Amino acid sequence: MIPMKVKFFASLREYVGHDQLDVQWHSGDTVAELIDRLQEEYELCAKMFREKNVLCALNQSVVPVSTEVGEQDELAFFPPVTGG
Amino acid sequence: MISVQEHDFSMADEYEALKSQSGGRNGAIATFVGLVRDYGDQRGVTGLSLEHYPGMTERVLETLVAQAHSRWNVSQTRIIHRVGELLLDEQIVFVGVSAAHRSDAFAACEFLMDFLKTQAPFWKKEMTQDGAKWVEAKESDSHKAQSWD
Repeated sequence: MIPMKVKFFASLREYVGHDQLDVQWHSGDTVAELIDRLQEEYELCAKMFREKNVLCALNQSVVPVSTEVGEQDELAFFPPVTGG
Repeated sequence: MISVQEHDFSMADEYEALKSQSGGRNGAIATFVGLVRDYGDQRGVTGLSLEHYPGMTERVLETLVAQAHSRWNVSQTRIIHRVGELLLDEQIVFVGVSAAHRSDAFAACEFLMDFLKTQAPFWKKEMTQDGAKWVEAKESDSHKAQSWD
C-alpha cells in the first residue's frame, strides 16, 4: 500500500475542509475502490459522496469511476463546473 | 492562445491582436465578453470569487480550441478567463475568433463559450450582503452545449 494524495476543489474542498487528503493506493485499484477507502477513512468524505454531485478527474480528464488508477496518477474530485 | 489570469484584459488590445494576425485572409472577427452581473443564483450579488483547477483548465480549453478548428474554418482563437475576486461589471471571460467568413467566426465563438461553461473546471462563488454561496451548475447550459452534437 502506498499513500496517494487526492485533490478537492471549490465547494467540495470547503466541505471536506482540505484541498488534499491521503488515501492508501493498491496496485490495480479503480477510482471506485479509492472512493470506498476515502469514505472509510474520512467521515466528511463519506457524507460528501452520499450527498453531493461529485465529478472525478484522473490526470486532469473526467473519467468514470471504473477507471484504473496508476501509482503516479493525479486524482481529483470537484463539483459540476460553473465558469464563463 | 489561452490565458487564465487574475488581472483584467483590454478588449481593444485583444481585438487589435486578432486583427493584426490576419494577413489579409480574414473577413470577420467575432468576440464575446462575459461580465459580473448583480444577480445569478441569488439577488443582490456584489461580486464573484472564481476558482479553477490549474493545468486541467488549460488542457480542456486547448481541446475545445482544437475541436473548433476541426469543425469550422477559423484562423485564430483567443480565450482569456479571469480567476480570483471580481466585482460587479468586471470582465470575467473573453473569447475571440477570426475567420474568412462571419458564419465560421460566430459559430466557433459561441461553441467555445458553450463548452467552456460546461467543461472547463472553473467554479464561481457569489458574494452578497448575506454571505457567499457557490453557484450551482445549470441544466440549461448543458442542454445548450449538447445542441452542438
